[in-house]
Order: sequence, then C-alpha cells, then structure tokens
Amino acid sequence: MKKQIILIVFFFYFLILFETGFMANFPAIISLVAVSVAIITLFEPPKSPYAVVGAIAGGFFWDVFSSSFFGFHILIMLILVGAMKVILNYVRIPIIKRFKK
Amino acid sequence: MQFTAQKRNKSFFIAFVIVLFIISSLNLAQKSVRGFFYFFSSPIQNTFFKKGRGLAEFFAFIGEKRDLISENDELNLKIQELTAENISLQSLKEENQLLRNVYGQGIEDNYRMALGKIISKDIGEDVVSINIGTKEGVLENMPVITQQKVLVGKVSQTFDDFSRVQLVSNKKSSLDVKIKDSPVVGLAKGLGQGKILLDLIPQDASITQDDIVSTSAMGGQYPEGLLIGQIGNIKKGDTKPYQQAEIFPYFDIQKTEDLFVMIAIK
Repeated sequence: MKKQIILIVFFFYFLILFETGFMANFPAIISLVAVSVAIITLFEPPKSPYAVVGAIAGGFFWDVFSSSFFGFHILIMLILVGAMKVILNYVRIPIIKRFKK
Repeated sequence: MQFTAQKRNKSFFIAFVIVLFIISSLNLAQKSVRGFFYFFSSPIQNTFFKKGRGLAEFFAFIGEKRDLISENDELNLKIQELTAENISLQSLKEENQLLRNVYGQGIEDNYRMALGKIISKDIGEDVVSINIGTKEGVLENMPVITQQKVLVGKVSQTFDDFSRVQLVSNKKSSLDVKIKDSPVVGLAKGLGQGKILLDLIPQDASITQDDIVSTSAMGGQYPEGLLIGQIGNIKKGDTKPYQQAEIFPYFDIQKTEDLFVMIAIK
C-alpha cells in the first residue's frame, strides 16, 4: 500500500509539471489533475484510500504551482472525491463495477 | 462497539487537526515552500515547456499552411510600404534623438532590462513563471515586456530565483491605456484566457478596428508607449455611457520565450 501511495504522489508531481510546462502551449480545456482524481475515484474499490491520497497530493502540487493559498485546491479535490463517492453509492455503472471487484 | 466508534472519531479529529496545522504552516512559509519546489522542478518544467512548444508549433504550421501563400503576398506588399516608411522615419529618428538629449531620457535610459525565460504557466490562470527573481533585482509590480516592447504584465510574486508574472489578460489586471496617434484614453481589463477588454471609452470618441492600443502613463503603473494589442470588435450602445472593445493582444505565450523585466534605475 505504501508503494502505491508513493507512486500516486510521484504521478501527481509529474502530472502537474506536465500540465504547467507542456500543456501551457495549448489552450487549457480541463485540469488533468482533476480528471485523474475523478478517474481514480471511479475505478477504485469503495473503501480504498487512493482517491483521497490522490486528491491531497494533486491538490497540494496544484497549490504549489498556482497563486492561491495552500489548502485551496486540496479542499476542492477532496470535495470532488467526497461528492463522487456519495453519488457512486447510489449509481451503479456496469463497466466500472467490473474493476471494483 | 461504541468504544471503537468513539476511538475512530477521536483519531479522525486528531488527523483533521494535524492536517489543518500542516496546511497553516505551509501558508506561513509559502514563499520558501514554493521556492523549494520551483528550484528543483524548473529544469523538468523547462524541458516540458520546450517540448510542448515544438508540438504546438507543428500543429500551428499544419493549420496555417493554407493561409501562408496569400499571407506571403500581403507581406511582400507590406515590406515595400514599410521600406518607404522607414526612409521617412530615419529623419524623424534623428530629430527625436536630438529632442531626447535636450528634454529628457527614453525608456532604455530609465530602466535596466533583466532577461528571463518562461518556464511554466499556471493551470487556468493567466500567470506565467520566469527563471529570474530577487537575486537579479526583480521586485513585485515591475513591468514585464517582450523584445518588441510589447507589455506582457507585471511581476506578482518573487522568489530568490523565480518570479510569477501576472499577464495583462489576467482577470485581476486593469491598466490605463491610450489609442496610438489619438487623444483617446481608456481602461484595459483582463478577462482571462488571453482576452482583454477595452472599457471606459467615451461615446463620442472615435475608435476603429485595428487601432493600436498602448500603455498610458496616467495610472503610474507602467511607462508610456508599451504596446498591448489591436482593437477588435467594438461594442457601442445608445444606452451605455461608454464604448467597449475587444483587444487582440500582441503577446502570445506560444510564440514568446524570452521576457524582460523592467528594473527602474531612478
């Protein structure tokens, strides 16, 4: 589990560098960090902590490379994960269900 | 069972307090935390930025290929016009130099230019990071321009080796501007996503599309005469007290790498 958490932290670190460096040359459509956190939330088993870890790591690096105060994007990412988890309690998507087993 | 639930609530509360404490301390030391991350991330960001530029240029080339032939013809005609204009401007330049010597000094004499390179852009915000900071004498609110004296924005935050530049198109940005070769003055407001709005132009003032907008010394933020962009669509309503217009900024992050921070000497 520790290995996965370290991997997630590194993944979000490089993702934010990619987004602020590489993607700066293209018109911004949607944040890759938010999309990644949403994808992890969708496909992880219900009691798994990876989405929360991803939200904290992604939010932290987003805060580092933006003008907002620390905690702002962490909070937004955690709200996103929380809201998605609540919705996923009531909505079952067959394709996603297969991954959660 | 109740004991376990109480214990869990207690550990959640402790975890919450610890997280809150860490976030508060990060905010107290945000300059050093950000400086630390910028320091060892800038080489990777720079590599990503250059690779992204290469790819963006490739796609832009494919998109623009069709227009290149007609644009080439137009440019050839423009070269001829400009050559004629250049000849007449030579004499004006000499005259201008004489007047400068008599009455005062130009931008170059009042400012020292510090050269910096763009290394990254914030997600969804019109803020870029450059690779020079307080060590090179950069301070907050200093104007940032390109080689062609196009206004990019102002320094919004400084670190030892890095600075963040708030672009003119940032939503927090507003500055006094004037129309070139005209007494009309107005206010340029950033709309985000690289867009600028020209506002507070009196109804009776005459402005036309493609007019050049430059900085005015009125606000005291920027030196006079720095280029901003060209006027696009003009919105003029009978019920509105002022005219508004779209500005197409000259600054394009995809075509610019080197920026100059104007460090005031006097």
